[in-house]
Amino acid sequence: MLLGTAVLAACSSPAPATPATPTAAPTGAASAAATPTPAATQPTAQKVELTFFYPVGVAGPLSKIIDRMTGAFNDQQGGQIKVTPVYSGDYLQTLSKAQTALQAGKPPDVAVINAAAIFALNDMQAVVPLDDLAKATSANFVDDFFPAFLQDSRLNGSLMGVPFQRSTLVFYYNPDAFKAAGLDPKAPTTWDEVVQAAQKLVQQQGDTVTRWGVSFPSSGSAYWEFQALAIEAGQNVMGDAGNKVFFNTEAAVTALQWLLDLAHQHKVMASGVIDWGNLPTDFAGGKTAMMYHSTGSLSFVLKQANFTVGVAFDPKKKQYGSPTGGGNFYLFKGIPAANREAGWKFITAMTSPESLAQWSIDTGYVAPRKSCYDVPVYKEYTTKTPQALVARDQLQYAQRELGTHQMAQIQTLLSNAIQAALTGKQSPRDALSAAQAQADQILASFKD
Amino acid sequence: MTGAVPAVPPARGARAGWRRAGSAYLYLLPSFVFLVVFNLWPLLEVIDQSLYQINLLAPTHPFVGLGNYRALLTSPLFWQVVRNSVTFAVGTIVPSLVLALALALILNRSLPLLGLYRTAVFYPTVLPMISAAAIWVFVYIPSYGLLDRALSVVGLSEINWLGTASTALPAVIISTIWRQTGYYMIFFLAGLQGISTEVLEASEIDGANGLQQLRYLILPLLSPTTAFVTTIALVAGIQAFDQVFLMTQGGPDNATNLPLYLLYQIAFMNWDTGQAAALTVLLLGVLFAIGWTNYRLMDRQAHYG
Repeated sequence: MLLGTAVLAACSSPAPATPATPTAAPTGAASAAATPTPAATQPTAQKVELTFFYPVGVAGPLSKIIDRMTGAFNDQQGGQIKVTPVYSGDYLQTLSKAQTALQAGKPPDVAVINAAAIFALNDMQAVVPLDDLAKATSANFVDDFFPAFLQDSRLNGSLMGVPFQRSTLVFYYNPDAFKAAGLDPKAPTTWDEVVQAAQKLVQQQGDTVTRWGVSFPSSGSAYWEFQALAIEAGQNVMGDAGNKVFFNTEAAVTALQWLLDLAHQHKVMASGVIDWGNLPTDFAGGKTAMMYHSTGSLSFVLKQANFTVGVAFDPKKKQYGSPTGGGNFYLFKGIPAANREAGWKFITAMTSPESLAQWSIDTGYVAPRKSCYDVPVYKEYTTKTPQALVARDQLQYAQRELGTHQMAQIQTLLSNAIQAALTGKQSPRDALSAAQAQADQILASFKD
Repeated sequence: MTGAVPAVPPARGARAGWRRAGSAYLYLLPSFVFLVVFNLWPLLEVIDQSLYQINLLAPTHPFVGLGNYRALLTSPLFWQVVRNSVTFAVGTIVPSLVLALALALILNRSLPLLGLYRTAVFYPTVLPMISAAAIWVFVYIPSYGLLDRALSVVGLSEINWLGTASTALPAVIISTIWRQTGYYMIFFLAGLQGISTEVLEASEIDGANGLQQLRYLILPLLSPTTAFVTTIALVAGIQAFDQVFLMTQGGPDNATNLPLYLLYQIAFMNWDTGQAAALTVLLLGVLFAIGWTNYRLMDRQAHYG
């Protein structure tokens, strides 16, 4: 029997996703189950089981909420559709997991993956366009979504993803700290005002700083928050083309230099790389008077802080600006027709105005549909928590996240360059120019 | 082939050898099949993959021969990772072995609460590396993390341990030493207890003091254990991944990027399966060399015994 199992393992070669693979790509797990073949229209009375990969990229108990939402959907379907949510780490890990599953011939049915991965997912031939399904649901399905979030939901005019947990970078500040420092408890609106306020807000005990004036995160995916500064200084690091990046523009160099100046010249920010994950806790705990962070951390910060949290637009230099971020719902290729139908049902349920409104309340992500703001629960919420409206109002200045071909690799180049400058290894101009050169080389082989 | 070993004196000649060998091979066959399926075949697959340009975003996979290897060996990032891993290996192995041996010597006597001490030293090993890494992230948080808190008493201004290029790798090294030392101590304890007390008593009669005993008796007699522990420490040093993944993500700017994390980046962020396969083959080569050296060393020791 042992022999039999071993032989079975050896014989089951997973179906390669790409046509010309010279070798099958074994992913280790000996899956004896063959990929379900798409049958001709199955009667909808049959139970459909869906796998749903999702990431958690911000602070808060989002897993529990997803479980609850999925459970509610399953109950509503009366046993016809059963969605199994699979927590898959952060955005990059979820993308890796989905891609690995795809390679093994067992893709998830539905997944929330970064909107910025749109070019990459299309290159991998991983997901299906949603235009037909969207049209069948409603003639102007996309019109209800904010244009800022549709920038990276459409590829060559086709709808590829449905916005779900979208975010932007916002500016959090501590009005109590402002008042205590003798400042008007209003958020600064320009870079210079940030510096001025921060200088008064820094607190020291001897040689140790007990509270920084402002904090800008730079660990891990530093490229994202940096985009805000680049846009504010005049230009985003990416346009709409998937094969062009703008890392060493004057805007980007100015932005990176400003970050360095905050730490070294104005001494209002910690030097080196500042950890993204710890920052909301630092802010809520009064270790920094102002911070840049995702709207997705709003709920966590509101809960943890013992002061009224101020939220405002990211201060402008030449213009206001913020990157969009977060994840869209995608429907995968290579799943049976029944799964596709059921998957779309799940997606529309999860992205209904009510569902998105509740999700935004629970997490602080921006509700990506205009009609969410009319849902009664949400109206009540925004009356009690006006901070939640700031992100929506900032959307008019929001531009798309860095998401080209070879997304993760290009993002890492920019993040490394930022970190190299912040740790003093290279000057901002040199670091960004090197990153630009490497990115150009990688993107050269992509046509659009 | 019959499995029964003949009870009568075996017939002479090759056929008899076959008979006995045959049943032996049959017993070995299941293990052998597993070895082939899960070790040898994937190894050959990986070597094969490393010769093609396999990017999961591109539909065709042209043969590039040693192209992937060339790309790796000419990439500055690769050499930085090599430098990091040498620093990491030396930085974790030497202190943890010395510490482990010292602790083993101390804890080899009958002390009160001996079991407690040994448990205290050993328990970090029981933690999964990822849990240990999570703990150390909190230790290293600037200004209110455990370490900076402790240092503020001494008046050292806050240090961003994981966010500064010069301190990030040492920080990761220290967390690794903390976790691994107990594990090596166990081996040294076992080795020490294998040294016959008569030898030590004889040396005492001859007038040797503790230090001389250590230098001329204990260390030489421990050399098989030391060689073994060094080998596993080296292998563990190359396999380090969890700490990097959780604490620094290879940063800041690749200051803590280690071979397995680079592999993760190439395979799962750049989606360059061919280059990942090439790096795998290189790493396997290094590990094989270490294993082979260990085998030869143990072989030499056997002759002494």
